[in-house]
Amino acid sequence: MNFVEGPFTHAVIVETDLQFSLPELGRACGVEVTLLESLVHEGVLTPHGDHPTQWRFEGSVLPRARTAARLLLDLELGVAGTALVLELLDEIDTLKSQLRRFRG
Amino acid sequence: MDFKDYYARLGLEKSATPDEIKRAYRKLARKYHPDVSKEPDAEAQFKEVAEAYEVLKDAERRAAYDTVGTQHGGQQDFRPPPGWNSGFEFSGNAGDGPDLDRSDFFEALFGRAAAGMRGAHRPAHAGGDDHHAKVTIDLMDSCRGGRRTISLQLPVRDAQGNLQLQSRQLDVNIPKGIRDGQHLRLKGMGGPGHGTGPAGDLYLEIHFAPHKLFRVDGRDIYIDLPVAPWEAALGASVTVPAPDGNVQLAVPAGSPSGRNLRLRGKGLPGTPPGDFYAVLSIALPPAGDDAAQAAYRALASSFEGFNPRAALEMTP
Repeated sequence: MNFVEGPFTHAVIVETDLQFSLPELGRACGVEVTLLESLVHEGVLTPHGDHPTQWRFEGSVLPRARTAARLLLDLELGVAGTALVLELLDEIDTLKSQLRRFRG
Repeated sequence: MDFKDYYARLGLEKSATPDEIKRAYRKLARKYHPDVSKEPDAEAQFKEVAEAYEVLKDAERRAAYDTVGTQHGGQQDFRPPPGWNSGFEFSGNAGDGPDLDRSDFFEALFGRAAAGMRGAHRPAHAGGDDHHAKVTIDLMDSCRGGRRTISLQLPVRDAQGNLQLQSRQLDVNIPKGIRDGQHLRLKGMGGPGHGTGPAGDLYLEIHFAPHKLFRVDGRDIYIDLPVAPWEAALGASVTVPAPDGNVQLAVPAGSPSGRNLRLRGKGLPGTPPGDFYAVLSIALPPAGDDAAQAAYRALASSFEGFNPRAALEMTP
């Protein structure tokens, strides 16, 4: 069965046009907000604002927050371990893109 | 449906202790987790490992699974015996496992509810779940922006409760200048709300289909531009296809192979817009006939002192 939902859907670019509150980011990642709070306290995510109720996360953190949540839950890593894995994954990404540029 | 041997999936004996189960899962999860794995079918493999662990780590579920396994007796085709689980009341936190689709086998044993989202209790009128999907668009869709119809595959239950893939088509405005790897949010297009709660949102991870001429790096667009040796040596004005249509490009005299010629602001649109780069490569005309070979010989005699490998020479 096919259906087109109409008339048409307004889409916004998450990375440039959106900010998340703590509950919004929790919903977007499919996890409890306490898990995100622990990632903030570990320095994995850096929101604007002092108190969790005032926190605003840049839209660009979404992929990182989702990856962090998956690593925490699926690999049963601690928060510090998750932070370390994320940094290593970032480094691998950087090296891979340098390698691509090097190879042309 | 096939009977799933969860013990075998984790490489364990049926007598495995909870510690052994945890160890086996963690080892396989590190090997197959899609975020860290280089295995080609990591996602499918991880799904199976996670499902096996979700059953075996929970004492109640494991006991139920063992009972079924004993009755089942090793045949491949599996039907759960009617009312088989009436003796069990699962108290565990239903959805505390990874957020993945479960097999039909899992759902037949532990029900659809157990295969839901991770996280604890949901209020009666909670908002719907946010959904995520990856979609591939053309580079031109980003350069021009505008409406595109996007097809998504959506797992849906039919009247018999079987899981089927339904094709869902969405008319989406692609914002001009969206980059590869960025996400779009479509408000209210995710999972339905519970009670009077609002529907969740749909997030689309955008990727560009490979283009036959252009390469994209962030906001910048690259094209390989072959030039004749005399164009590179003497300079030339050449016509180059760019995303906005053809452009005239001045190749400076004495351009080496690999030189980047930049057209500022002609990459992906945005504030600031990206740049467009033509990467020169020198194309040799074939020395197919006598005249062509004579031309190459004349070239050689005109450049007798030229050594293309001067940089390779070792100092004595």
